[in-house]
Amino acid sequence: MKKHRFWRLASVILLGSWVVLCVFASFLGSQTAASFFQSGPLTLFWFIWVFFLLFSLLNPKVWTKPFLLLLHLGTLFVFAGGLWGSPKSFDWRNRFGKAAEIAKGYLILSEQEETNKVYDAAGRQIGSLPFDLCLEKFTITYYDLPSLRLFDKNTGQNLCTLQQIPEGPVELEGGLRLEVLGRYKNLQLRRQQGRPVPAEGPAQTRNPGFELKLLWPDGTEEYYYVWEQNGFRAPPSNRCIVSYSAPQMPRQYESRVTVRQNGKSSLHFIRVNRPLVYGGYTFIQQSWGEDEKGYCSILGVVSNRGFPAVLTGYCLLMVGAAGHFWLVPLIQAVRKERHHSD
Amino acid sequence: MVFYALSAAGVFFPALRMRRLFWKAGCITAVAAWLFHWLGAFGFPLQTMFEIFLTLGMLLGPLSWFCRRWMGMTDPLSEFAEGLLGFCILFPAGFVFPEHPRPLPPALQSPFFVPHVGTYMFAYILLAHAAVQAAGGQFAAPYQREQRAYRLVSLAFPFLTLGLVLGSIWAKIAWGDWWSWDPKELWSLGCWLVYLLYFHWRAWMGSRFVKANLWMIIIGFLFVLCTLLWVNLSKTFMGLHNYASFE
Repeated sequence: MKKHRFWRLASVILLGSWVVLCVFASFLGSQTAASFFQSGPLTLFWFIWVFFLLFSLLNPKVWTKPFLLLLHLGTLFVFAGGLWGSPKSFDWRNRFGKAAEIAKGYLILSEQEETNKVYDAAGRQIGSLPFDLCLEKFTITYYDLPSLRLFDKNTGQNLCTLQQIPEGPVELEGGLRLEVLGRYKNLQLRRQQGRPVPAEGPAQTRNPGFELKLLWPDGTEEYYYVWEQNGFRAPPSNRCIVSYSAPQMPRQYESRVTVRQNGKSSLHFIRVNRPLVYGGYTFIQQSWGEDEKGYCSILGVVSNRGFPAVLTGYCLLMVGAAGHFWLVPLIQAVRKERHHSD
Repeated sequence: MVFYALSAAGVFFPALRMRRLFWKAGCITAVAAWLFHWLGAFGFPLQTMFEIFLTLGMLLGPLSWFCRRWMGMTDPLSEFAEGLLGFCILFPAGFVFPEHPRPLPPALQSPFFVPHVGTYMFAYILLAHAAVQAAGGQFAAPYQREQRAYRLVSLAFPFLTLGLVLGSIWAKIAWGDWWSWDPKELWSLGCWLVYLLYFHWRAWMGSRFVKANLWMIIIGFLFVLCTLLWVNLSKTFMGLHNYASFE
């Protein structure tokens, strides 16, 4: 009886302390909270949980209620899988002689570039994958379209709205002809012989812009320089106001990658919520950037260690919860009803 | 909202004999408003706080009907609670949160989105009902109300578990980790643990400390409120779950 009371008390204390830890850690921010829960003393706390759940299975009462057993077994599986796949467990295994394995890191891939080097969040190389990944293309699709607009400077009348930047010259209403002469990632204007000349600025700064030529029906040529963020620039004699707004609402990010291993290669698409699972790792579309070559994609690399255990645990937990809290009371209620009707 | 307020007021003013009719009108209006918003939204309306509260308002009617039909919750307190909850849920949707729909960001475009949020909505409505029963039990009929609140929490707990599990699996797919120790995740885990603590405590003590049982249910619901409101609206908790913030 005393033993029974001890286990009850222990379960209440452990659950209560976990609640307190959750509330405390919520004020720390996710990164500090993650370090806190993966620290030495808290690792001990998780091991106490594992042992506690193991001992709870020794309680014969648990075995008389199969769904309650599943609930406890499920939690145990989740703990075991979580600990097995945790960064701390990787640290220990790497320290005690096993080959260096990667728990979590990032791959930074420029378009048409191949690599197997994995970095941590601070940019230090932490290991290499046993296969190479090559980014064929990185694409961003948007909900909204870009918009290039021309207004008459005097009347304010909208002369045209283009929902994409034309590749070649386009004929507009009223006999106007618009041509995009140049596209720049960092448009800078330099003065040469008193005239503005467009040039590509340093690659580390992003300030996209376009050089436009507008041909009026009377044969007048006007030049405009329009930026995504900084309005436009044109000689005062020009007759138009130009504006450009880039699409703002991303719909999806997609990396088309080729995996190369032992002379074989396979093509894959990695999108947000559609990761690639390959060679014991999951590759996630984490972020993106731009460099002098074009887009670069940042892929998260996470080891799948402990995955089956956690997933099994979740299934057991759900079956246990639904059975214990819904099915068993329902069966009891039906039996009671039948008993009353008899 | 007005219909729900009138149905709640009807409990105190017997002259308002149409309180059941008001309640039904409240349910139908909430479902109609939700359907109308869905037609103009970019997807299933569960993204913004406005959509969350509208969905809660839509679910309140059918779930309250379920509680009446299968749990015998037809006493004045339960009927008052239904009206009051309807008013409290739909008030922020009507007057606090902006209603314009937003397109789904890439991170939310997942088959897990609707089941994950939807199961939480089911659980929250049932837990709100349980909290009202628990609060009522502090003043009258504590044993009966505790029994009823226990049945409601038992009904809600698998939904809460499913929400947590689906969220974790989705996080593994989208972010690579089962668990990110994000404030929202920690509060929802805390919420789940409080109810788990209640079950363990109740299994141990039974109805010996009935008021303590009732208090645990109320505390559990305070955790629900923190998870749903404080974490989303306060600048104290910045994390990965800021899609449903005020803006």
